[in-house]
Formats: sequence, C-alpha cells, structure tokens
Amino acid sequence: MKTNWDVIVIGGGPGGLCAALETARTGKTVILFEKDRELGMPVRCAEGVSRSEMKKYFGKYPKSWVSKDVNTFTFVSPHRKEVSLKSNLYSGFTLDRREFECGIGRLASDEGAKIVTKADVRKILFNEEGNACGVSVLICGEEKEYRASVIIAADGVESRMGKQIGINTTLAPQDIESCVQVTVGNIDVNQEALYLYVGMCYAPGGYIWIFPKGNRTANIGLGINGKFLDGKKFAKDYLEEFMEEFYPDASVLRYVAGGVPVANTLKDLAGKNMLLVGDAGRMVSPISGGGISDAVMSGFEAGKIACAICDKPQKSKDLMAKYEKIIAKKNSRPHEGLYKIKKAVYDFTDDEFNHIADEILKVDIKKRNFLSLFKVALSNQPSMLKVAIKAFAGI
Amino acid sequence: MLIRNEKCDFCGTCVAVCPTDSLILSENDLIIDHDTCTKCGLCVKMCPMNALEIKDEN
Repeated sequence: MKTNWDVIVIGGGPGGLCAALETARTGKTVILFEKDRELGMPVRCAEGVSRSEMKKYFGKYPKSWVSKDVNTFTFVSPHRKEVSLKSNLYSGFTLDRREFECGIGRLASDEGAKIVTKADVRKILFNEEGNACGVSVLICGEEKEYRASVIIAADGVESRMGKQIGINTTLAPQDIESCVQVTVGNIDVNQEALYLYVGMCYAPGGYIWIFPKGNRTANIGLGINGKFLDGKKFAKDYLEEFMEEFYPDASVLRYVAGGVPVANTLKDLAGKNMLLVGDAGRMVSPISGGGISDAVMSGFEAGKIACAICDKPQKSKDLMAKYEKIIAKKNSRPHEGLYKIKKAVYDFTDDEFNHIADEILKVDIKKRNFLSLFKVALSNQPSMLKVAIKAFAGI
Repeated sequence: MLIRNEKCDFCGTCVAVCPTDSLILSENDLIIDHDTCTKCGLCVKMCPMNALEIKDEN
C-alpha cells in the first residue's frame, strides 16, 4: 500500500466518511483509517435524523438507510403527561447506521478513496516547519507511517488527535452526557413518534429516548449529564430501572454505552494543516445531543478545504481560517443559544417540568412548536426568553 | 491505581473527560498511563457502565 497521500482522514464515522467522499470526488488521493473492524458498528447512537437534512446532503438516499419514518416529537413529563409536537418540520426517520455508513463508504470508495479498518491512528507526525505531515497507525500490531499534505481528524468523542496540535478538546462534566442504549424487540410503542422523557426522575440533565425502528423494535436509551453524576449511580442503573418499570418483557437485541458532547463547539478547529470534524470538534447540538448532520456538514466542508490546501499550500493558514469561519456560521454560533438554554434547563425541578407540560397542553396542537415550548418553559426568565427566541427563530 | 473491569464497553467517554490525556482506547482495550493519571476520579463518575474504579495500591 502506498504511503504518500494528498489527504489522510482519521475516523470512519459519518464525518470522516463524508470528508473522504468529498476529497475523492474532487480528484485528490485520500486514505481513511478506522480503528474498529467495520464501518457503522457498534451503533452508539439513537439514530434520529431530519428528512430535510438528509435530503440536503445526500439527495435521493437509498431506502435501506431508513429504519422507520416518524412525524411527531412526544415529550413525557415527570407526571407522565404526553406533549406532542407535530408538523412537516419534524418529519424525519431513524437511520440504520450500519447501512448508512457502509453506503457512504461505498460511495467514497467508488470515487477512489481508500478505506482501511482495524487501523488505529495513534500519533500525528510533524515536519520541520511544525506542521502535521502524516500519521503513525497501528495495523495488526505493527506501527506504520503514512504521509499527507492535510490531515482531517474525525476521531469522534475521544478527540485525542486535536490535543496533539495543542487544542484542548477535553470535556468538562457539564459538557458531556453519559449514555447507554438498548435496541429492543417485543415492545409495543407508538412507531410514528420519537418519545422523550424529560425530568429529574427519569434522567438528570438529560432525557430518556424511545426511537422506533419498525417491526416492534426501538432504540431506548438515556443520557445523564456529568454535572449530576456522583460516582454512586451510573447511566446503566438509570436505564435498568426504567426498563424494569416500563418494558420488563422487552428482549435486548443490542446494548451499548457512549458519551455525547453537549458543549459549545470548540473555538479552535484547525491548525498546522489539520482540521477537526464533527464530534471531535464538539459540534453536537447541546440541547438534543444530535450530531450526525453536523458531522456530515463539517466533513464535506473539511474535504473541500483540504483539497484547496493541497492545490495552494502557501494559502493553508487562510484556508484553515476560512474553515473555522464556515463552521462558526453554520454551527458554533447557532449552538451558543442552545447551550445557554441547556444550562437553564438543568435548574428545572420536576414540578416545573410538570407545570410546563400542563401549560403547553392548553395550546392547540397545530400551534405547538419548539419555540412555543421554550417560551412557556422560560416565561419567568425574560433574558433566557430572548435567547430562546433567537435560537429557535425560523423553526 | 485506576483499574478497568469487565463491564467496560470501550465507548471512550472516559477518554473524552480525562484532563491529563492518560487514557487511550484501542478497539478492545483501554490503555491507562498510571504515571500521568492523577486519580482525579472524573472518568470513574462519567463512565456509563461503572467500569472504572480507583483502588488502593496495597
């Protein structure tokens, strides 16, 4: 296998794969290293996506990517009242992420990208100018070196690569959700809706989700915010309690753990000819924990910029700054408002969640949307109300 | 000393929160650098599976 490439991509999740796809179809040589044995698995994700986002990035995507179409968000309060939001804007589906990632992998490969699995990138290599110029990869126990003009770090929540160019990617406790999820069979849930159980009694600083996957199966999981983790009770304990009470007869088809960043996007996302993509750059929505579309968006943008750097290496500093500007506009700034709302919600008691549910239920279902939900939730905090309106403008 | 037990799902949550970059996740192992680990205990609390603990070095 050749060792000199135009671009090296670290990580084969949605972000890395889209970066490789964009780089390859622009005509540059690209190699992608994925640590795990296969793309897409294990699925550490609730798999919920918006239809409009998927159409925007992939056009007519294959049916095999879809587990189950959904058209409603249903919130459940501590006192078990259901508040549904339904409109064309909330049209989406649960992904089959194994199909999705293998699908993008195939697209990238057909364009000429080289993908290597079971390949664990440990170190960034630097040249005399102090710029990233390659990686050291552990492949079947052997350390091998590869060189490139640009490195794209799409190494997910661990984000160790960014640290090697001096970016502090470490997450503070309040900026991470400690999560577990089971994919279960033999359950009867509403297969048309995404359910979110919100309240301290369910998941402190997070929520329990039930995302339908069709055929009497669903992803059931939760995230507990690090601020509320005391070393005595863990995410797995919260989920086991919920499953015991609500779905004792469910069969567990998959059981995974994971960490979800709920931080502000990193201010520094590039340097020394390296670009950070997706979860590695903490681009996940602080309020929903969803990060697939952010990873895809930034993967495509990083691919474009990487190719431009290959063409004009003398402009690399300007191009890296351009990448950071694009992400700031499309992701970081929109997330700042959501982050402030997230912090305000941590102080809500279950009585307050119940009150919000009761108030929203008075609003006609046709007039309910996320903005009206947050207007009610933050009605006694006028400064936060402004933040909510700005954050949800247009939704 | 920080140790990992069999409940570990190799998810990397601990790596994300470690302030001293003392943890490396391979596909099926969590490598702990005991020299740089300060035993702050953040990883122990954040672990979704209760797979980490700090034990007395006796």
